[in-house]
Amino acid sequence: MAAAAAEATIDGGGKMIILISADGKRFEVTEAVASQSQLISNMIEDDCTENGVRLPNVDGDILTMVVDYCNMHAGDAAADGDTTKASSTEELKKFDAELVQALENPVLFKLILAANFLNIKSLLDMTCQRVADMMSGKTPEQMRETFSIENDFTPEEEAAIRQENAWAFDD
Amino acid sequence: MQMEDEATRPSSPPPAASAASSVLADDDLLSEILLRLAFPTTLVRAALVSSRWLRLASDSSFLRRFRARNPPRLLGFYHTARRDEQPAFVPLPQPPELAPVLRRLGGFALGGADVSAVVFDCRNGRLLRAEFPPPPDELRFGVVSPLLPPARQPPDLPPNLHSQLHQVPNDARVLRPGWMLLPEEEEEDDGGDDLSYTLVVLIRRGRGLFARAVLVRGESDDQIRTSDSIELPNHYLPNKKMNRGLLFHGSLYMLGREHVLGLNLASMSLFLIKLPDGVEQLEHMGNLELLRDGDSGLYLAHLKGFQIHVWHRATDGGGNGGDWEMVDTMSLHQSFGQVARPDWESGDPSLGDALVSLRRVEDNAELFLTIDRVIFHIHIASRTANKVFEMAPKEDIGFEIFPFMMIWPPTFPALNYDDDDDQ
Repeated sequence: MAAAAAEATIDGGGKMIILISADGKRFEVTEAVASQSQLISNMIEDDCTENGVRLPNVDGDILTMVVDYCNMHAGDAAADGDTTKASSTEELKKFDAELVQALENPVLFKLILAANFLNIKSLLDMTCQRVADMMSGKTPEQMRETFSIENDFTPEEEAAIRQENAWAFDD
Repeated sequence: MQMEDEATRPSSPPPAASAASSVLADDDLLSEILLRLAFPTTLVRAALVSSRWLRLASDSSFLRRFRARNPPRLLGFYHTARRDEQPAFVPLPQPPELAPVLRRLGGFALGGADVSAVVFDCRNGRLLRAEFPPPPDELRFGVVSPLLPPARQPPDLPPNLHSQLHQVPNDARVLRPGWMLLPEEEEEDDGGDDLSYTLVVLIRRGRGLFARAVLVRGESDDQIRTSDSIELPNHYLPNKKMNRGLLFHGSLYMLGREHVLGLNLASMSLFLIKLPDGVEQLEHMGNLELLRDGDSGLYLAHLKGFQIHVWHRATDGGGNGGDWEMVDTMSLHQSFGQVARPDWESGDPSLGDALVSLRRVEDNAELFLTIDRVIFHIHIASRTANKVFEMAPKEDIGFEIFPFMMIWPPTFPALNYDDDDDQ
């Protein structure tokens, strides 16, 4: 997919940008695709993408997913839809659903970090939603276990919160 | 949950295990995740994960955002089907995440073996009720919160204030049911710790009408405040009962026959707003209902024939404002079709028919519509009308329903956690 993205032919003469992952993988994308990242969009405005954009926080596997995502969504970002082939809404929904469904720890969290760093709001929204969905129906203990978080409440504090909001608990 | 040292990993991907902790150690990211939890039950459980999670989940601006994404749900309703029965809770279908909430409601009972109970009003998971224990115990009048633990129950109105509130001269009478006013949403920024409420009763004396209000908050009860009397137009009101009032920007609005009566609670002044031309509350009530939808003014739902007309009026918290304007119409043919009655073919099903009525669901633009023994839940904006309940035959005499909403916000006890970096 990354290779396909790099070789994509561009209508309307959009400029190409090279993204370089932490482990040195290179991705060639159009400005329209890359601009979905607010970070890169700002860099394009500031004219500092000449020599490629190094992304030391994002490794190649994750950047592949990000680029795929941005290629799929380039259509809806460019509201006119003339310069890039817009994917149909149905296609996009299916793509997003499949992408998100397949995500598990740790890739999910790496993708959140990447979306946050690159400032891609829709991807951040989707991935945060996925984490939230993972918590649904879980007890606090199960949530701690899922995310390896230490319980730092005293038993009294924990009991107080439970008692105040007893409607949220099964016991 | 120490932060990763950015400088030590310039060009190599972070180790797998740390991606999750990097995300969850970031307050902004964790807040974004918590915001996307679909149910308050899940939010409360998440708040119990650690003190840091609790701090983020109990932040007041976070709670406002959460509420905006997940408005409190309609859990079901209390109904008073018969005089000789206690008010009962009827749950509406809910997702599994809310099962613990429904279980608690199922385990809560008003009244008791020899204590009868009456519900007057219902709001934000709280009920204004009276319970009548056998003598020598005194009447209990006040608010109960079925979802809160005993220690968090709002105080009852002290008996002396209750009798003062309801005591009137011989030639006057208190209009039922009286109103329980909880703080409006914009005033609930303190994490929902406020268990106070205001009780309002209206007293009719000849052509005059005045209001009494008292703020109930436990040990420090306010004095009863009384408004000036307002002179009523002819044919203003029924003599005993009033429709439920709507609190909007510090004023209580109550439907009369051709007017809306307003009470500004700050100044305790009464005022009248004429209903739109041709709109009139019928004798048995239920064909009109006041609504609010956020801050955009006062709405009036008018059940006319097989349609609901929605009127809108700007308001200034007093008697002034713009004119009424019809902003929406929703057809109910399908709903009425499910409860076909031969005598409706001729036209207006609400005219002279006491068994058709509208009931507001708190501050949402949604309604219950009762047609005979069938109750529909109506969303005006989305044009949906779903049948939610059918009463057993003979139960519909004196049937009154009180929509019961999920309580909001959760109450998080103040813990001694470090919130230096809280904004």
